[in-house]
Amino acid sequence: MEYRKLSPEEISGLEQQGCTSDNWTEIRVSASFDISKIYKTAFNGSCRIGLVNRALSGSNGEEIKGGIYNSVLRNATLEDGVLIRNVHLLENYHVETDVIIENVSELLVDGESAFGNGVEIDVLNEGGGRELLLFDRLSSQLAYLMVIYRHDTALMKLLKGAIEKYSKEKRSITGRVGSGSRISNCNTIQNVFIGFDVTIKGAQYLQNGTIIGEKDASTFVGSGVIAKDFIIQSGSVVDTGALLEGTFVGQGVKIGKQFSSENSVFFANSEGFHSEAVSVFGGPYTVTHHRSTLLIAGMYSFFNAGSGTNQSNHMYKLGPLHQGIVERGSKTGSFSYLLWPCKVGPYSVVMGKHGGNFDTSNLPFSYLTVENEKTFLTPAMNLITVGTRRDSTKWPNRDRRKGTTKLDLIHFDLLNPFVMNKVLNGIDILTELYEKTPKEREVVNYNGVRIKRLMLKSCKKYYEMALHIFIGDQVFNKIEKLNAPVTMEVLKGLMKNNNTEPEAEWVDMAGLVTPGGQLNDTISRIKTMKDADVLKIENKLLALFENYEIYSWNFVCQVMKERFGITKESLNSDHLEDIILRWKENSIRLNNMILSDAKKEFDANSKIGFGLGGDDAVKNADFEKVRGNYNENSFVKGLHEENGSIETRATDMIKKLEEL
Amino acid sequence: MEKQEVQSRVKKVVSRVLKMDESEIADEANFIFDLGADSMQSLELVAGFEEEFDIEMDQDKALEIQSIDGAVEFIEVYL
Repeated sequence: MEYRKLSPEEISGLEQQGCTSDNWTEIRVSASFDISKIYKTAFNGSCRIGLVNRALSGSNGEEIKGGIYNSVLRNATLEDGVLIRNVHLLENYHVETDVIIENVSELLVDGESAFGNGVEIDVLNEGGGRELLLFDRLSSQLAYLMVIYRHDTALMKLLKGAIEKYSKEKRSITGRVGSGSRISNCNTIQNVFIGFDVTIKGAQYLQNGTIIGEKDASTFVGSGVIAKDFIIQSGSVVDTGALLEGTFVGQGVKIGKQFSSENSVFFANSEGFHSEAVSVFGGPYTVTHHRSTLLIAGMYSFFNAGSGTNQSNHMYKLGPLHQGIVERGSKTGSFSYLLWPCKVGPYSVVMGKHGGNFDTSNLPFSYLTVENEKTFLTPAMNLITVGTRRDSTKWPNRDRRKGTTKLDLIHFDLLNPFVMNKVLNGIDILTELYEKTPKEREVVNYNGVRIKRLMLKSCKKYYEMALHIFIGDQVFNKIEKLNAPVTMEVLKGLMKNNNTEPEAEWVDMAGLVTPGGQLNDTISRIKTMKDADVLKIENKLLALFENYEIYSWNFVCQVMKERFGITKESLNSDHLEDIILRWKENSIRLNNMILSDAKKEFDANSKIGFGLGGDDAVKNADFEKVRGNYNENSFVKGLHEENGSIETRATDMIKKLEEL
Repeated sequence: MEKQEVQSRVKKVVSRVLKMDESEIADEANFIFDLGADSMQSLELVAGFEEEFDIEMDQDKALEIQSIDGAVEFIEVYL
């Protein structure tokens, strides 16, 4: 925009309206500048002022006039349509059009700043060694690489270089308030980049950070928030006395109710209330809602922390070097305790106080409990509970990321190759333990936990149930997506490995499920990049994400060959019919087991505390009024409908296969 | 196998899994409300019955069994 000097008449007019300047010649204005709506304001240093009194929309959608009142500006640029009122100091900021800033003590940049980009935090390991550089495009996958691949010094150097380059480009002596933003009733905001459509209302102290917003994913920072060295991504809410230091808040995250966080990252759709986080790698959907909960030195995703949940990394002699990995979909029950180091397998439930270290990574869907101060594990138990099924449908429905770019790459499938690989390992482990354990023994030891011998055989069956469902689902999807008429030749063609080798190891990169070999290849490609930058690295990770279906199918072909002896050459319609029938049988069986679990939510125990002062009839009536009844429950009805649909799909598919 | 023997062996499994004396277990006792079995113990009971009688039960139907009497009736079908 072109700016001109103020005319003597305009200077005189402004002075009559109570305005001052330490040097009016340094104050430039837009061609259409108008002194009306500018009162009692000091313009110091070098300022650029647009047609501020243009109309803009108020908080309730009403039309209000821009203007500058009772404020002090130093080295500030204000575009057209801006309302600045009662701002004690607005220094070194560029304020874009359609912005309201009122009742703010200080909004200033005091020297060159990268606005929280490039801040280094000690994540996962409180003692350091896994330093993560924050920046305003950080994804859970890039963070995963930086935190987990420390042993790859070439990769570290490259990633660090790319992020530092990105952060350097963000350095400026001038801050920005993006179009559509509203800042009101705040104390000090220092060295903070404020993006589009950001609302900051009642924040206490914000220092060295970036707050990103988007038109369809506006961001809110609310009352009493104190944040230092931070990034807040689009569509997030940080409110009600949250205390952040060295913290990344990802897209669609909710933080508030005096939650405090230090050296931690929370990726897409995480939620933190009341509790405390230190050196936490919170992958997507990390949720902690309750007071007295401390998450420390751990990596989590799709995680729910019960009240009073605690972990300890303090059984050390050389510093707090212990860390914990809680794989996707796990939960900690109220007042559960884990002594790091520990590795908890996916979709597990931790209950009680665990004073020993264990690794149950290859026994997914487990219940971890305590008996006589020893950790007991019931494998596959959580596969047949209503909670797991509910969670798996809930997560994609609760994706709050509404902006144009979803930074974190997330695979939502409950049964995915990462989990199924562990299910296969679980089958082998339980088989081996069962075969070598004499019947006289009540428990067996495995990787720091005890498993009741009786459970070895039946839990293996539950894992097999999951396997048949997974394989059937994948085969169904593949056949149903066929554009060509279904012939045996076409079906054999599906068994191709898409020119890639099947993988023995799968990785969950904080939401992105991918074969280990493919990830290693991607890392190699990243390391050989010329002029590596953040966007180029993101694109490599995106390719991994988008190839998920191909890799998954390769995994299915590999499993069919290794576990069922089915190859491209040997495949026939009997094999497929068998897969479909097993899928049907096990899917319905699993649903029925989940329904049995759901039924407990309506049994006599669940009615304890209902119908106070009445008899059983009152108790039942009260319960039904509050909780509904089993048969009318939407989840229960959904599962019954699903069972019907499974029958139909299986019948149709078998008919199709019989015609081959 | 006589019904009485089935019942006796069912009680033996229940006694072992729930760690209680067989004499405390009534014929009509409900696993959850009377004997205090939790979800994991329910699975353990099913596994225990399978091993005791050397049978493979329908897991979903087996988990619906509520009582000693019910278990006896259910297991008899497999014998």
